[in-house]
Amino acid sequence: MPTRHAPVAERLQLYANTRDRELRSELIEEHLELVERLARRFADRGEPYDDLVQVGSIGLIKSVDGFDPDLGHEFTAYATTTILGELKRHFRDRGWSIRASRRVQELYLEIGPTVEALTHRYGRSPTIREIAAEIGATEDAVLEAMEAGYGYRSPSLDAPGPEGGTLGDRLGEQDPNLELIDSRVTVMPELAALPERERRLITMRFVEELSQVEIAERLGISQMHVSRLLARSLATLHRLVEAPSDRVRSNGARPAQKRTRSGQKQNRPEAQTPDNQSHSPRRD
Amino acid sequence: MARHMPRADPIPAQVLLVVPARPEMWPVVRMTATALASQVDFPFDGIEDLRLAVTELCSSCAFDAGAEATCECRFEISDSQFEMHCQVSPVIETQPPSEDHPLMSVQDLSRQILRATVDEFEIRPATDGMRYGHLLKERAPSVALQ
Repeated sequence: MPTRHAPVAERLQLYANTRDRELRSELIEEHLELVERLARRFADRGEPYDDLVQVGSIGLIKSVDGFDPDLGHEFTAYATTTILGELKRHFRDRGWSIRASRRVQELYLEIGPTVEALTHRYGRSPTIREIAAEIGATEDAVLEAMEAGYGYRSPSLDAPGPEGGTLGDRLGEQDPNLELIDSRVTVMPELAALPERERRLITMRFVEELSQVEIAERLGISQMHVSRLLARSLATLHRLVEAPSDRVRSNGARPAQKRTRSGQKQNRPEAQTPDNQSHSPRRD
Repeated sequence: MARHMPRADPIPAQVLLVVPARPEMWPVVRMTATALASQVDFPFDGIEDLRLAVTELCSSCAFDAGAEATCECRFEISDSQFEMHCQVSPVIETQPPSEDHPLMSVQDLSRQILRATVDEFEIRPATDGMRYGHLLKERAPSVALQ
């Protein structure tokens, strides 16, 4: 079996053939830097960086699981598309916490379901004009809401707690069950993709088997808050665990083509950069 | 299935926008770009892609730009595509950038993002104190998804 020293392409091919979980973890770990770099691109939009890395990691896992080396595409191009898609979906699906007017917030919240409904109705992505008509707003207002939506965020362990600090801080420094966590990680490698603080919250509930009320008392927050935080962490875990069954195949990537500067069209995933970009280091 | 109906009002072929080359100006560029793309009925997904791509192009072109630098954006739109030319000056020249220059890392990521979001792009090394970038995105045909 190829080791870490073998070319990435070779190991991706091997993983596609064997679905070896150790190799899978290795490939995911090696490409986490790509997730971190892409997540930083969204870091000024009000979402905690760790959360973005977590969301991006789901895209990376989907990429590793769905990549089909036989199609001859470049993995990093495929993974970038998938990770960006996951990050965009995350921003589209989450809640608000910015200084947008209520009108804009309400309008933005209408856009997601409207896009979904119109996509279903028309069998294609709707235009802004169609979205505006459906909602009963102007196109400018829809565009404004979309732009404002860049800054929203979801409840987070990084949010300030009622007594100062963050909820994440309250989860403490030491965890006597870390070894147990590690064993769970072996069983469920997706758990490793969660930020440590969320892993610990899950550990308190599902390893230490503390009740939500007990966790709430320990953290000094309401049980409802614990419930929401756990729900969010578990939803992420579900998506991670379900990622392999998503089967986002690399041939599912958009087939759009791009031209080189000479005007020749090439398939997107294999498209070479223009001459002046040829010094860009390849990732794999 | 709904069809795109032609607009009664003609769309401008070119729009020129000049802003300070600073990140706080990118929302202005994004809003202009998406408003124009909307004029030619780009789909929601395409506009979301453009939002990312426009930011990347501006950020990449404005890397190492001085405080007084300006970002000149020229948008060209037609029924079938959206095109943007971005020119930032003055910028500090490092020509050609070495492989370990920070710009390479920034532009490498920008290329990854642009590759995933538009049909064609280009980011030229800085010359004569100016950096130029370009992107093109074709409007997806208004046909039903399979």
